[in-house]
Amino acid sequence: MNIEIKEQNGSYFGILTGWIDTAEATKFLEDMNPLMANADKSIELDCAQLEYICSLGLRGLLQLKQESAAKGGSLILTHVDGEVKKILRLTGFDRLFNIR
Amino acid sequence: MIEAPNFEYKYDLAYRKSFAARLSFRIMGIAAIVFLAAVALFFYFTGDSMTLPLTHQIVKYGTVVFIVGLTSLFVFCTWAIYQMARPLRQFAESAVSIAGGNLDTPLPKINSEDELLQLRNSFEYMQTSLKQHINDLQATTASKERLQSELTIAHDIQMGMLTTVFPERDDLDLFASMTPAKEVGGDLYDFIIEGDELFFIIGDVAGKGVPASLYMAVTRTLFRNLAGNYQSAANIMRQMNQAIASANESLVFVTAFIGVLDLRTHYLTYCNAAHNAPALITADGKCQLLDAETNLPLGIEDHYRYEEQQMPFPENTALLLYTDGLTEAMYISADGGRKLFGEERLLHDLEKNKQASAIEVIDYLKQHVNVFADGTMQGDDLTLLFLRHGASRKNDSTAPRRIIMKNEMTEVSRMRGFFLSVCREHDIDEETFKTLNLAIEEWVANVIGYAYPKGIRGHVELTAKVVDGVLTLVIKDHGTPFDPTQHAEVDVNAELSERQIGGLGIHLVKSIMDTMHYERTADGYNVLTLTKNIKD
Repeated sequence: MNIEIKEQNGSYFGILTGWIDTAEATKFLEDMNPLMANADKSIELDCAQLEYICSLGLRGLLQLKQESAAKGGSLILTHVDGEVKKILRLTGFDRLFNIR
Repeated sequence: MIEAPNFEYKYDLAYRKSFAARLSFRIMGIAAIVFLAAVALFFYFTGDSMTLPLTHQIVKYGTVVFIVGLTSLFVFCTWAIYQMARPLRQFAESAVSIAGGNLDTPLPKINSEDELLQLRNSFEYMQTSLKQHINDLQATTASKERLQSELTIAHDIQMGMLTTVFPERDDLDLFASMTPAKEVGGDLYDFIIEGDELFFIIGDVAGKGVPASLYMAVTRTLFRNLAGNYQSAANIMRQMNQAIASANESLVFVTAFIGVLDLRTHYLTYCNAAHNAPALITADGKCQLLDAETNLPLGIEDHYRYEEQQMPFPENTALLLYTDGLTEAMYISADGGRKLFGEERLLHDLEKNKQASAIEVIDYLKQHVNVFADGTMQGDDLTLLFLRHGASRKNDSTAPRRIIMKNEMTEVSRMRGFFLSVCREHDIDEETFKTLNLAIEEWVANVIGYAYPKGIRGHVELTAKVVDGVLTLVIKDHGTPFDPTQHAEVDVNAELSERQIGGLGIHLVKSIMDTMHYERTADGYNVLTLTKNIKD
């Protein structure tokens, strides 16, 4: 699991790669902190390289979405496919998130 | 052997043998010349009165007096010089005795303060400094001998560490060897078979000799402890790296290649920490270097994320792991020209030996390196490990497979390795594997996180079997009772602000699997049984 965060013109871009399993989730939540701190801005998460995400990882995404909604920012997930798309659908997250 | 000079220091008038005699003869010679000169002068001045009886008298008695005087002078001189030269003779004796090893030989007593005293002082100084040098030499020799014998013991210990009992199985032909350039080396290899998995490593500690051998021992022990059922190659590498990097005062690094070969499903997973890419003989007989992406060597950055690769490893595929002692074996010609063994020669050798057994391949390569070097000294440790995957054993594919995990969160990655092997055995595709793995992981992570009180060791056991296209998973733990079927359903249709953070895991298990059944046994186990039809 890896998350790479870039800032461009006040917008934030995150690239998620690999497996976010339960063992890795704590690190994932920590790595998300810079995004949580900027939840009032526009955030885009690229999931093209994301292979797997467990419920702890989903919680991290949910928290970020709730924070973003509360602070008037925006959160978009891009390139959601395969396994990750399936999991988002099973949990009803596909309706909560802005997915492109 | 040098012979000691044989001195006979007896009083001897023979001209060459006595210092005193030589001096006395010289004094007498001078006296005789003086006398003859005096006689000549006498006759020259008294030539006319030679006939006078007085003159005759003078000459006659003068001669007698002179001869008597000369004789007395000779005797006196000889005696006096003999006396003075006595210490010299004693010095000569002492020197012979000292040369014979008796450093405490007494020196003659000198009461005068002349050159003899200087000689005596010099002798004394020679005695003490000889003693000092001999003591130093003895100490150096002793410590060198001790070091040498310790190195010999270290060599034996190191060789004893390397596994030399090779598996005797139909589905695996494996052999390895390590030849250190000095008494001890920094190369290592090791392998363990756990269940249906072969874990193997080859490594090279930077540097040579004793410092490298200490790291070699550490690296090999870490591998032994970390390799185990369904542990992934990258995970083993990561943990080894953390252990080495966290206590690496002398900034030593280790290059290594770790492979995990699933003998049941013919899959190889591997992770390369800046080691030479192994050579591969494919099932259809092609010899090439393995595509092995390079990660950082072990010991440099403790949080480095090691990545692994995987590939099918069908019957008759073979792999040769080696250290740079092979490809960088050198030949130096008489005119100083240098030539390296190189990868091309290696692949050529493999091409010639593609049907040979592991022992034959390794013997051939070692011999070829020797012939190639042609007497040029071996500069680096040389380690080789060859393995060929033979025809798999016939497994009863309906027999259940099991993994027992500790209540530690890192165990979920081991579980993934186990379940991947199960899925491959039953031709379950990658996407389905991920989805099913999520369901199991959610439950197992729940058990690991909450079933046992904090700080209490516990286990969770996962059994998998596939019968008639139905995958049945049984997960068992000895923790506090928890019935997921009684758990309130998560409302997946709730609005964002009302979505609860918890409860997702159990929801995922239920939605992914076809059936879920919970039982609390009389002997205190939570047993969760999950099934899934995987026919389609």
